[in-house]
Amino acid sequence: MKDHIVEIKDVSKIFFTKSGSLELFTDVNINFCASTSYALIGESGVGKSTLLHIASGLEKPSTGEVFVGNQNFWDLKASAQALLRLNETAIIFQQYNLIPCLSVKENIEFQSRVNKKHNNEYINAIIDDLQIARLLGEWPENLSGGEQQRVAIARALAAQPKILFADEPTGSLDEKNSKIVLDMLLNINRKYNTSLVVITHSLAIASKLEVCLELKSRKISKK
Amino acid sequence: MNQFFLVLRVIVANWKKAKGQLFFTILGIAIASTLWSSVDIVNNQTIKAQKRSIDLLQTAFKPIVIDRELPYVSQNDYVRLRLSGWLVNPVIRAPLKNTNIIIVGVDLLADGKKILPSGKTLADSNFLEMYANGEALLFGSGKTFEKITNQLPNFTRIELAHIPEDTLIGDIASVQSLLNMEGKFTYFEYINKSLNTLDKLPLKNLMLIDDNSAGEFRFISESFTFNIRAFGFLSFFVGMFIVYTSVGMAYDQRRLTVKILKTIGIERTLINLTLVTELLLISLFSGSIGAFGGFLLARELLPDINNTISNIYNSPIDGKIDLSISWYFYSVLIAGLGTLLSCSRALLKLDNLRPIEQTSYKKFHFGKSLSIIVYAMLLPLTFTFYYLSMTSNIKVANFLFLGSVIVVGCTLLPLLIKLFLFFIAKKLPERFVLSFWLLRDTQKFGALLFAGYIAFFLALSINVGVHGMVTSFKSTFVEWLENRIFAEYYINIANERQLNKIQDVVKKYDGEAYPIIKNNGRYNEKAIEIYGFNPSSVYEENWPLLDKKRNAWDRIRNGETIFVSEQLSIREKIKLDDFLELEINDKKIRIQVGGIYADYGNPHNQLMMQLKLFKTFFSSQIPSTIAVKLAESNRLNFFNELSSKVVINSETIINPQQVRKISLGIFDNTFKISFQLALITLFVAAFTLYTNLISINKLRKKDLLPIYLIGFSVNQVIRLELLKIYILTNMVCFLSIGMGVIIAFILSEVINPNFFGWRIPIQVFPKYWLQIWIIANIASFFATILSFRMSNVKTSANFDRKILRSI
Repeated sequence: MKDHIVEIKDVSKIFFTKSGSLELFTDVNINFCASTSYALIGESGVGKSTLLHIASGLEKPSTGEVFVGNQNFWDLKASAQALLRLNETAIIFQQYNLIPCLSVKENIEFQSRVNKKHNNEYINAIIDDLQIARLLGEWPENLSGGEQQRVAIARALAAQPKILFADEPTGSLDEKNSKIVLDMLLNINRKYNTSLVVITHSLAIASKLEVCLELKSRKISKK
Repeated sequence: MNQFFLVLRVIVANWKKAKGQLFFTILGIAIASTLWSSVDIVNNQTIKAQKRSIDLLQTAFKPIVIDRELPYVSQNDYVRLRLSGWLVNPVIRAPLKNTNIIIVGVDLLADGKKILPSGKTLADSNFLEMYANGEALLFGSGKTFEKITNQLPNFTRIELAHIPEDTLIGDIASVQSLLNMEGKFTYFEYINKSLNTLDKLPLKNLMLIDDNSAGEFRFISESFTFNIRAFGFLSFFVGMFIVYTSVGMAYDQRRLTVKILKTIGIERTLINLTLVTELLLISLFSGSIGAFGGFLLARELLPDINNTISNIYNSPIDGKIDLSISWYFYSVLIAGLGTLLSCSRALLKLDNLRPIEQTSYKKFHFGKSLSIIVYAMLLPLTFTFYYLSMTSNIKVANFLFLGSVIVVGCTLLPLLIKLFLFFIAKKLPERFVLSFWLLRDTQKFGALLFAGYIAFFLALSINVGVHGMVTSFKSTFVEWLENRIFAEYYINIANERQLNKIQDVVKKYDGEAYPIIKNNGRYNEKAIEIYGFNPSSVYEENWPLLDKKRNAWDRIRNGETIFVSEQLSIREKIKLDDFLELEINDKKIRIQVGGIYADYGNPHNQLMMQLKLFKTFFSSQIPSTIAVKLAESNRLNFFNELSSKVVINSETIINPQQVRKISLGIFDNTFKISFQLALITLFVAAFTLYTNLISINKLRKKDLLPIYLIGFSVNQVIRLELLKIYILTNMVCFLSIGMGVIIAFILSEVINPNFFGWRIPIQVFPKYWLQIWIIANIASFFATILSFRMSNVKTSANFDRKILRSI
């Protein structure tokens, strides 16, 4: 039995809007275990991104608990929460979110320097794996979408997280670049034992991951 | 610490992508702190000069003579005063190095009595002999001498228990050489038996001050300081709008960076700390530039201010600018606080920024809630300040009241513009699609645009307000002066013989002589000037009373009432028909107030009474001046005969034209600083609008692309943009004039009576409003055109290329 990295217990999420309350999902229970890759699928608007944000500690659930390791995330002080996010998790967005005022190299190294896990050899290996060595001196704005996504992945991995959340990482890429990025994520999952949680619409991508979870009718189920 | 510097590096790196905003932020802080620190220097100089004379007066035994500018009077001044018949004794007063002891040097032979216990003289002891033998004598208490056991070995110490502790008195020559003040004294003590305030010093660099002066200096100093400080604050406030917009825009551009920092787990506190550190570093740099700029500006402004306070109020001045480390730190501190305040909204926005967008209907928005609380408190605060200004002596309440009214105006301005835009959008026909888009675009960038227009509104309304008050004052003053100077000649009288001779000549040429006589008295424990005059029909025709009873002139002619100056009436809350208890020359009188007259520009408390009544207190005093009215045909002969019979010089006979010229000159000088600061504020506001438009143009480049893709030309957009700025500028001008009139009214009705003691009837000046209106339109036109140029929106091709590259 693998150790769980992040555990979601009886989580539900309700949004309050001007037209009333909206329950996105309820009683969701998931164990994200070490070295495992997960696909999270579901139709648009069912709350996949919200669930990913809850799992990564970016958003508070309406009810239920989130454990990172053995610690109840939302019982912790804001500073301790920030520390857990800094050391244990990393997240990749569809829109890459690179820091525009830092070069590619500075972007990659930034989080690892802040959480004091900076390791040159490790980072160089990631850079080689992601084939972005020639881009290190560039500014993010000069990169293509595929290149920016690879830099975002490199930045996330350089911080040596235990779990990597990816919110539709290939959503804005063409087929060729999507394949490259996905292969890299799977390779990383195997090579560095980093748990991987990927939101995707593509069943083809989901089939390549070890566990496929579907969010449907406000409930989560294994597929 | 390592984490702090890593995050700070990322935060600072954002400026690489926002060099323009960094430049404008630095410039904004530098301009604002230049204005603030220059005003601070000016104020410090004024206060220092007043403090010097007040300090001296508090410790001096008699009225004293000091230099107008220098902290000392010279041996040469002393000789010339004595040769002119002035009885003065030189005194040195200075702190003893490295102690808190004051050492006083006096002429032992002339002033020795005041060192010794009462009833004793130098001759009673052997001090005279010791002094004659060349010993340097030093008198003080035993306790004082204990503190300087090893100091001043060359002095012979004489213990006198009655000399206050921490004071030493010595022979002036010895003290001069001890303090390296050869040929210099701190002041001269005036030793005439009673001070005749009409005595004129023969040396222009010197001035005579007495106990009453201390209170007057304090009053003048406070009034000037508040007046200039208020303008400095307003200019600072306007300058900070540049910082508000440039930092607001720069922070908008770094939202992504902050979002990522929060996402990866950087603590919110650490991010805020680095943002504040970055702002403080910028303000340290810009504040230092501002401090230097302030020094240069103060150097330009100071001569006018010195001229004003020296001429109009006969007050000492300080010609040299003193700069100190503490002043520099204070300037930088103010720059830092202003920067943090103007950036607080942008900081709060970044602080509230979540790593991911969250939908929550009941979301609490701190910034918005704070704004609502501030708005809700504005009106009660304004009323509280108004109440305090009218009922208390808290002078700062006057400016807080004016400030809060201005803030209310600034708060209402964006609301009114929004309402206007909303109304236009509703009424605009559907075919004007581009205009409709422009309206929506204006609403989108409203916050930035309104900030520029608030600065503009502030500057315009302050200009209109200050101009309204000053020009109303000037026109009232000129009319008043014309009436007041009703005679052809004003002749100063030296003695009774001269008076009789002059009266004879006046009689010979069928002239009318009106004697003016002045002395001092007390009311309510305060010094007042008392004038004696003949309340004839000439006065009745020429002296407009601000408030009077129908038979006021008859009653004063009968000696039943007195007239009081407006200043005295406001300061002492004296109303018509009140009975005043006056103390004049050791006699007491209870008399009714029959009228209140204007006496603009005079800081003294003053009253006038019938000449006969005056003589009951000062029976032997002769008039100091007589005003002479003559038919035009007799004037030349009168003047010639007067010159041949009476020894007159330029000081004896006063030409009214000269008086008018001098008075108006002094008047213009008094408000020169206000005008200069108001104009600087207008310039800064135009610059603020310009920087805002640049910021907006840069931000909206992406928004403009679809408009060009649809097929509209750059020129069409620029023309429409100019039309928009033209409409908004005119709307702001219109509202500014309204606000300006309110400011003028407050200055006239609240601040002037409380600070200077006079109330001015406010007039309107449409010609000046038109000028300001045109200047505002020209400034905003150039701000728009230049901002387009700066944003590289000059040619269609360039513009399109830029836009396409930026997406």
